[in-house]
Amino acid sequence: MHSTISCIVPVYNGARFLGEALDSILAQTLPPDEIIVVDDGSTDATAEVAGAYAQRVSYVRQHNAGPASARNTGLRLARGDFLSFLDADDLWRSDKLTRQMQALESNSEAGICISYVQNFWVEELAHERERMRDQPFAKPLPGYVCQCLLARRNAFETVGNFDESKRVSEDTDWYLRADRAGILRTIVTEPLVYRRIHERNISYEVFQPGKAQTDLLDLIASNLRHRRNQPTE
Amino acid sequence: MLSLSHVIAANEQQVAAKVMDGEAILINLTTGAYYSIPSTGGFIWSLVEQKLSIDDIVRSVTAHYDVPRSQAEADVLRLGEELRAEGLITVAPSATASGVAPQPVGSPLPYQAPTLEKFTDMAEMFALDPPLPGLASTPPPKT
Repeated sequence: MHSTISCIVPVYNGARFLGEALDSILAQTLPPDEIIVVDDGSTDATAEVAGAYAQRVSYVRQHNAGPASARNTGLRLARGDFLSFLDADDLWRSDKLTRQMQALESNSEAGICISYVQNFWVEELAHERERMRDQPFAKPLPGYVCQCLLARRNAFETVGNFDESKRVSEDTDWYLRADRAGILRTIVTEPLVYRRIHERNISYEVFQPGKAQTDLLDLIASNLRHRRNQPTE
Repeated sequence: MLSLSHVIAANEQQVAAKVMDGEAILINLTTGAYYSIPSTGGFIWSLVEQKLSIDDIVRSVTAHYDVPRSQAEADVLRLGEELRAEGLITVAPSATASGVAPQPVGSPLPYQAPTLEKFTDMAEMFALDPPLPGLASTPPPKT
C-alpha cells in the first residue's frame, strides 16, 4: 500500500513568501498527500494567501505561540506515515520528497532523513550576500533544521514533539533528542531545500544577551551531561 | 604574553557564557565551538566576567582556595592564554589597582588546577539553528 506524507507549514506574518513556499510543495515530483498550514496568529494577509490554496491545503489558526508550538499543532493533525515541514519563507527543490523517500526506502534502519540546505538572500540584502560570498554560510550545509527533515511517524512517537519553551534552537534540540533516542539518520548531501535570508531572520538575536543565549547554553550543558554519561569508546 | 597587570574580560561580542553548578559553559558564536571550565576554573571565569586584572584574580583565588600563590599565578596566566587563543576574552594592557579586596572565607576550598575543554561536535548544527553565519569552517557530515 502507498505510504502517505504530511507536510506542515508553520507561518507567522508570512504572507509575502507563503505562496512561493506552497507552490514549491505542490510542484514536488512526489507531492505530499496532505499539506497543513498552521497560522500562528498572523496579523497580515497570511489567511488570504492560504485561502487561495484551499482546495489542496488545510488551514488552521492558533493564538501566537511560536514556531515550535505551531509545528506541534500540525503534528497533532497530521495523518501521514511520513512527516515533513517547510517554513513559509523557504522553498523545496522539486525532487526533495522523492529523493528523501528513496533514501528512507533503501535504508529501513533509518528513522529520519535530512538533506543539505542552500541559503539565499532576498534582493534587499544583496550586500549581505556579497559579504558572505566565500563563507560556509553561503554554501550548501547539512540541514539540521525542520524544513530539511523527512521523518517516519514512529520517529516522532519515540522522540516526542518540539520543545515549546525554547526561544531558539528547538530544531537542534529535537535532533539531539533523536540522537539520544537512538534514531538513525540518513543524509542526502545535495541541497534539496533553499532557505531564504531576509530582514526578519537576519537579526541573529543569539548575539545579544537574553533568553536566546540562555536557551543555547542550556542546550550545550545538556549535551555535555549526556556525553559524560556515555561510556568512552 | 599575559602578565599580572593585564585586565581580562569576557569577549562579549562573540561569546555567550554561563556558570552552572560551578562549571563555566561557554560558546564562541563565531566558530560554533563550545567549552567547559569545571571546578576552580568556573570560579576563575566568574572573576573574568567582572573584568579584573590577573593579579586581582590570583588574589581572589588564593583567598578562596587552598593553593600557593605561585601555583595560582601560573595557572591563571596559563588559562588566560588558552582563553585568549580561543577568542574568548579581551585583554587590556594594564590596570590601575581595582581596589577589589578578596572576600575572606572560613576554610579554604580544595583547589583543582583550571582546565579548558573544547568541543566542536555541535558546530554543524549551530551553523543554521541558531544561525551563526560567521562560522569559519563546517566539519564533514556525519553518516
